Amino acid sequence: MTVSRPSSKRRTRPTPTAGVGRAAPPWRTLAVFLAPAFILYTIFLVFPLAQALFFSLFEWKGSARGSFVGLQNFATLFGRFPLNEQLPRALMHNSIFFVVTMIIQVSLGLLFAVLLQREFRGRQFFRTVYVLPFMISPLVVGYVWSLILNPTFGPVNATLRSLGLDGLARPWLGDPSTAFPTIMLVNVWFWLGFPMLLFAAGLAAIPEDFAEAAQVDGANRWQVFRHVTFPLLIPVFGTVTVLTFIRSFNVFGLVWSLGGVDGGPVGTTDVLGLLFYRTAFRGGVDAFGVASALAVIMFAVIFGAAIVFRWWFHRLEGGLT
Amino acid sequence: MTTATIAGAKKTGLARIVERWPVKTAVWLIAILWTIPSFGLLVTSFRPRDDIRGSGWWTVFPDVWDKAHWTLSNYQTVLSTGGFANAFLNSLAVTIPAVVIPITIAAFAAYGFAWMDFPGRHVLFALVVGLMVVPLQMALIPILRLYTRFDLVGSFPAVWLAHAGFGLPLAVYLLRNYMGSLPSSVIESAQIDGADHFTIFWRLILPLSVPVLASFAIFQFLWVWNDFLVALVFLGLEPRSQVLTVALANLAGNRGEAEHLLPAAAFVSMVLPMVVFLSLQRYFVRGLTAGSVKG
Repeated sequence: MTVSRPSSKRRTRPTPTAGVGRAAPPWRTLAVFLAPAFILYTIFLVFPLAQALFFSLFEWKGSARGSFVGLQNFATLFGRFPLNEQLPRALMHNSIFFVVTMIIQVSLGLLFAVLLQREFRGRQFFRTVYVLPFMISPLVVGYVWSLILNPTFGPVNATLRSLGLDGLARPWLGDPSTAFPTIMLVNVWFWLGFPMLLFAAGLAAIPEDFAEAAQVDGANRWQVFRHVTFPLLIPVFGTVTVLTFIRSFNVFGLVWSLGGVDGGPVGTTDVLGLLFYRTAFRGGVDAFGVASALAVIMFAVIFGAAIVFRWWFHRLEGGLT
Repeated sequence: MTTATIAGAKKTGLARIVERWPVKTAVWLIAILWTIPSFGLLVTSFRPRDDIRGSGWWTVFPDVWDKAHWTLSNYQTVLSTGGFANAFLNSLAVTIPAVVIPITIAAFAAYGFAWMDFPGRHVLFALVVGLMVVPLQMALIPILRLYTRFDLVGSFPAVWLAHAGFGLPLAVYLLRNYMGSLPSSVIESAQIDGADHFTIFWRLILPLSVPVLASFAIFQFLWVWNDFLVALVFLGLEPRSQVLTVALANLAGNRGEAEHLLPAAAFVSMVLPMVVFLSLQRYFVRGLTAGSVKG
């Protein structure tokens, strides 16, 4: 949805004859419709964007802007301890988070959608149950799971012990080797219903006779899925990918509540969102400059990737259908 | 849905039975996995403090009717001395305008993009959509400085406007795609009858766009209600103005002291989003996928 084509199909609508339909309205009417959005948009998106770029090139003392220092804030970001270790690590964690979430989400989300595609009693109930965690604040999801994963009285370890698997019971969130994978699994529970809903809508939009025609031609069910259903779902994959990407690089509340503001234990769950928060609001006297530089880097990564995804899915769509 | 039924009925009886059981089992297993965490939380929230610390929530089940296992005191404490009643009202005061403002503004703009011809229309729309991926963090410091200058930090309008701004690209995008897909003949015949843009927008397009308006409203409601970062930065930790997420983070911050109150507090924060979603869910997907999927 996010950067998928702005519905090129709809432009083929016959253009209205002169004087009727989309005639250019008087500028005053136009202003009433568009000016409020334009003003809000400028103040809260365009202007901050430009300003963050601008701020990142200056020296800062608290909230007072000093002299122009060129790329020094970026140099600090990549050179000063502990930032020079935290930034690549956080970037790596966000990337892993994205890739793992994508793999699980696309496979399981599609599987859930397919399971619930056929009409049976209680279908709507199950669909709702799967989506419900999506209603909960990431922060609350974190607390729910930190209670469940609690090493002493949490049900996960209690279950493992009662099954005689004492060796597997561990402080899931306290052990540096399991903390981040655990957070990613919690995220699957939290977020999976949403791609499922999108896939379900995609499946429902595919005309039945497409699959039937293929079956008449002798295709088995897997072949129908692979060559008919799957290509038609590519736009949904595009939407899910972009949304997952944006969310993976903006993840904040979930990790805050499971790993703390420092992304503990020992930084093994640190992500860009937390790093930004610490740099901007708990950093040193030059915090605003360094944090602005970090924001610029984050923007470059996310915006760049979004463009690449868009191009890639556009090609994929052209190749498969 | 009807088409799915017809296709299902076409399968032979045997094939249906064979493929049905694994599916049903899977569907139930997933449902249990997906509900147990919240269910455990709900049970825990009604248990006395010492029980919560001493044993797992599932231990109540052998004698579930024993009144000694249950209490409302967690909710009482959370709502009164915990300040969650106040935080709930603050969350409402933040969320409602933060949903209404961007919807109103975006509806006008989306109509403009969909049904008015003006130079630069496509470029402007591409710009709106393109900035949808800008990370929130990027805007925090500049907006914080702006608010400091106008002495808005810590006030509700600060959060309303920030959320309205951040939600606007998605709103314009979804609404425009939906409004653009409405049949042009309706608008044309209204114009022939002499209706101007305001009349068409108000009397025709808005009533027809209810699904997408509801869909964005849910999305924005969930986003704002559950938001932590924006509230933390622009409203801060003051008990008087803090919202539910910030109050929760505070509560969890004094670990040990109030851990037995967390489940009740978490449920207080979950109630309204669930109600909103359950009552409007049939619109949710329809509006969201108007752009990428037909349906």
